[in-house]
Amino acid sequence: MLFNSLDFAAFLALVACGYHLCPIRWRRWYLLASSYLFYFTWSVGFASLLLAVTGVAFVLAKRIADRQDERVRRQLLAVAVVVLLLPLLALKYLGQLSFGLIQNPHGGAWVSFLPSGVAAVGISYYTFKLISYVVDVYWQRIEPCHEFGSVAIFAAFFPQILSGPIQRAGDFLGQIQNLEATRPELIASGLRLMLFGFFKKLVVADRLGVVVDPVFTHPHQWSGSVLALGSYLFAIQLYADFSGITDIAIGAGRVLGFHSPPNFDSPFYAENIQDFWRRWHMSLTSWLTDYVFMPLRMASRDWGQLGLVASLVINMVAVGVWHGAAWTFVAFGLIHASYMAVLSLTLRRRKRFLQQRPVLQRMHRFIGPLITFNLVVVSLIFFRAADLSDAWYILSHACEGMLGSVARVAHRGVEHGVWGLSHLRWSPGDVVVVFGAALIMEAVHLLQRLKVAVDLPLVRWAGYFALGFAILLWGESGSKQFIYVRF
Amino acid sequence: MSDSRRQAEKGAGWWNVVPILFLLLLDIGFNGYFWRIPKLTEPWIDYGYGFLLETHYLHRPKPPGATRVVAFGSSVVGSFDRYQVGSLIEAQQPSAKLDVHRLLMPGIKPSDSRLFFETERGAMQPDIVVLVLNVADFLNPGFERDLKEQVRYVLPPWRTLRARHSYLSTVSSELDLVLASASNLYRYRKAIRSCVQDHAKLLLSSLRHRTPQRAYGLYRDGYTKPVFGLPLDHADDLNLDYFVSPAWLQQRGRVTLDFSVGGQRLAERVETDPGWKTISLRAPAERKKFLRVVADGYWVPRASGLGDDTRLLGVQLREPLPLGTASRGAATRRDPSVDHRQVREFLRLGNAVGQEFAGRWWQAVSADTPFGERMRAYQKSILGIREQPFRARGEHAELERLIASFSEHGVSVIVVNSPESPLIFDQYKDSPYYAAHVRFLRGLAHKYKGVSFHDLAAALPAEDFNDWHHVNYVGASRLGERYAEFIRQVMSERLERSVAGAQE
Amino acid sequence: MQTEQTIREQLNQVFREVFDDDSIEISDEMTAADVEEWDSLNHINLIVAVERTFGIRFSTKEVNGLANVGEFIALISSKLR
Repeated sequence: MLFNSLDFAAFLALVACGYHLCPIRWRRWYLLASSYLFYFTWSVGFASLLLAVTGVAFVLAKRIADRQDERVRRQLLAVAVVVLLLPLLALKYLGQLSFGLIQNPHGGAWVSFLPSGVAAVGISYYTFKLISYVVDVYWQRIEPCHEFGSVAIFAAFFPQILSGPIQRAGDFLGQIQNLEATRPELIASGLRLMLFGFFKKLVVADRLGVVVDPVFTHPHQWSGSVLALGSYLFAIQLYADFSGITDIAIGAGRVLGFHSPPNFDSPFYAENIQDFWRRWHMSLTSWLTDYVFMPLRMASRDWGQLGLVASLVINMVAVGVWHGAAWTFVAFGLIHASYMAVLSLTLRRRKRFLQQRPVLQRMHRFIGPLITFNLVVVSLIFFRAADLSDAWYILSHACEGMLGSVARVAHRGVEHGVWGLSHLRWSPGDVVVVFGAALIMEAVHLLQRLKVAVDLPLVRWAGYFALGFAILLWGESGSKQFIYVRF
Repeated sequence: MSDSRRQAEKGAGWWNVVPILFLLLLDIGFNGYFWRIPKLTEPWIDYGYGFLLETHYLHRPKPPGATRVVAFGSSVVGSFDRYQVGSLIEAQQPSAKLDVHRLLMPGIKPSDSRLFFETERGAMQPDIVVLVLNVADFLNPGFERDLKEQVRYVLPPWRTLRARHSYLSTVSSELDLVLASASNLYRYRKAIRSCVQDHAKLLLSSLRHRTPQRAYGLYRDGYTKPVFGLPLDHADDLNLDYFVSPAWLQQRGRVTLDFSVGGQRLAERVETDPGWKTISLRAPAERKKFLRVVADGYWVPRASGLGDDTRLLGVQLREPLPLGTASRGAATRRDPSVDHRQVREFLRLGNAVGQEFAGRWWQAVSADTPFGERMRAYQKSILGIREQPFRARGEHAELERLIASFSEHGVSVIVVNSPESPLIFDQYKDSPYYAAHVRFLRGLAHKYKGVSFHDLAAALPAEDFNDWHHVNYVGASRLGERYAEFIRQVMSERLERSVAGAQE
Repeated sequence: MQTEQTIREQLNQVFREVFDDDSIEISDEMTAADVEEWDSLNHINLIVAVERTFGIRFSTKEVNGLANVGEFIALISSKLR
């Protein structure tokens, strides 16, 4: 079941009630059963894959910790990584090969599962979790867990299995081994976060999706300015969508008393691309940094700049390809790799340049995020488009459209049609609702960032009511797949 | 944590119960306050909302001594205008007291109607029910499985769940019905949204102070919308000719026109006779003048969806020429300038009739437009009944159950087989399925007390239709006369029966 | 044989060069969060610079396990022995 369905709400309510009524001794088993039950609603067959993979990780981690011989430890590690990665690679990527990596047969990642009817839901997430567990044991960062149940819950934890965040073993296992008594304020906090997450997902993201999908499905029928608008709106949609379901995931975890790592930290305020990746999909980036980039970089440290660029390219392409086996994702990765490479190679020169021009340096605080946002939007065109030719078409015409629109605005002032809103057949009511909702979203994010606690219960409850009613009245109905579930 | 702080937090904790109680109150008392909120702008913003408003209005007790008439059906019952029917009956029988209503829900089928009336018949207490049926309502191959979302929205959720649970495809839809039966706020959320949008629209339009530059609210042939405006680019005096259509007056009895400039009302005219009228107005001294005319009602002949309905007023205009133009003999007036972006094709295809109409019609149907596609798709599905064998199961059985229940409780039922455009009707009217279908409906009238059947399928010519089975305003006004006739008949029968009953 | 003090001084110099900031003064409790430019990209540059300065070689595992500069200094001196 997806998060934005009544089934999930009912499921979570039942599980949470049972969990908190359960004596602490039994909570682990209860949680394990619930998580697997949740997975059964997707596929019973692949639940056994999950179990098997967990078993492999558990056993090999213990073996690695037991042995002293460095060579043996390394061999065991290699075996573990290969065995853990194999199902992921096979199910996610090889299945696509028969269609050719050039096409993404379902026009982007939203519509449905892999053509072979595979529902290996969450495989990217639990595979990464388990790999991080084994590697952390190998690096002697954490002790291996001697209870299979705990590791099983770590992999299958249902709030996180659909779309992350990718929590580290040490963090989660530490919590599961030390379960505390129920804290009602955590439940309330979790529910608040879920409310906000549903708001972002149902009112902002899904409604934007209604407008953005036609632009990307049939790009050739739209004018340049519409393509540009669609691309910008997609960035906002993706952000609202993913941060929304992350909030739901973290909130659901909190209702059960668990702390999860954050995934977003106001990414569009990042001053450069490197900063952006520290704020966007944080759990994935930090995973790749720790387990892919750093080891690669260490291995290539004697090759100077070449080593740096190579590591960056591999790392960013991995980010792209993690989302799916299509050339558009590879392109996405390469684009970001080139951004990062340029960024890090010119870092010192740019710093000197700005230091000598204090005015520019102050302006950089505002221009930086603007430039970064535009760079990200360009890369997201490749992320969303059905294939490379579509992406290139959109990009080239969007740029034309932008320049044309700017010229027209300069001449005649803003017209409704200039920005393409009328072409998208969006009624003024819809525009008001979506942009109002997006503003509210940013306002709440601002409050969260500044850690402002609103003490007046009246105001707080008015806020909850407003969000709740917004979801009730304007939540886009029809269960849309989350953009990130298929991964 | 100090004790006082803990106390404070506990106190704060109790306060949190208040909003939850408030929410519960809002939910439980919903039916008490929500349906009293009036609809302020266009009525057809949301068919479900309109339907529910009307239903809840009918929960109020009847005016004493009045006969409550409820017309019910899918989109075809759009041909029933309660104002027209009501005023026609009252014109013939001034002593009759009527309470006429119409419940219209596009896509509703007899099986859904039965579920609806299970609870509503008792609450509404109708005396006469007019069921306007179309053969398409019965073509439900999924029977009971085909529960459209917009229809589910107006049906009682718990009963629907019990009757249809084996046909609901997902757990989500079952949970949806469970939640809807528990919470009014959830159940009526679309209505709440429509209400909010309704008020927002009104707010927006009242904030708009911009004077429009061009004439608005006019059709190419000069007919107007309920609100229309003309720019006055010259003197203070204005002579305006306007024509009031007889059909409009026949439907409404009387109409009121309100003339204003810049928010200041200049005149009000009440029209009870059709024909050409002239009004002289003295506009206030302002440089930019715009005459705004508002009529107090209009006619909607069919329910096909937002923006497709024709709202034709019986007002046609000619405005005076600007001063200084040399008079060229007969042409002392000119037709109003119309913004061509607002022009809608007048649905009689340019006033064509007979063969010419048929020719234009088939052209429109075979065109590569969304309208043409819809027409072809419908045509294909309806002509499929030629091969179908008739079985008095499914929707037909449900209709019988509904009528039996009405008859049992002393409600008179008028079953009307709604008109079909002869351009398609001729192709299947002789098929065994259709003949059996009509026989079945006729049979119901014989089988149950208080039920009458009228077959209007061939009553109207092709040019009285907007598409295969929805009539336009001309067709609807003709049907209104028939409806009034049927209801009058039933009313006198009821009177006879009650007199006879009192005598016994 | 280098004393801890000389290691500290040399390390301080390395920090100043890698992070291009002459005002840096390292301390035992200092972590990546304390230096503005110390991110994953620059971390490796730091490691490389330290390896070149002291003529030693680190493994990924050793580098991963460091919590603060104090531990780094301890690691360096253990390598030099």
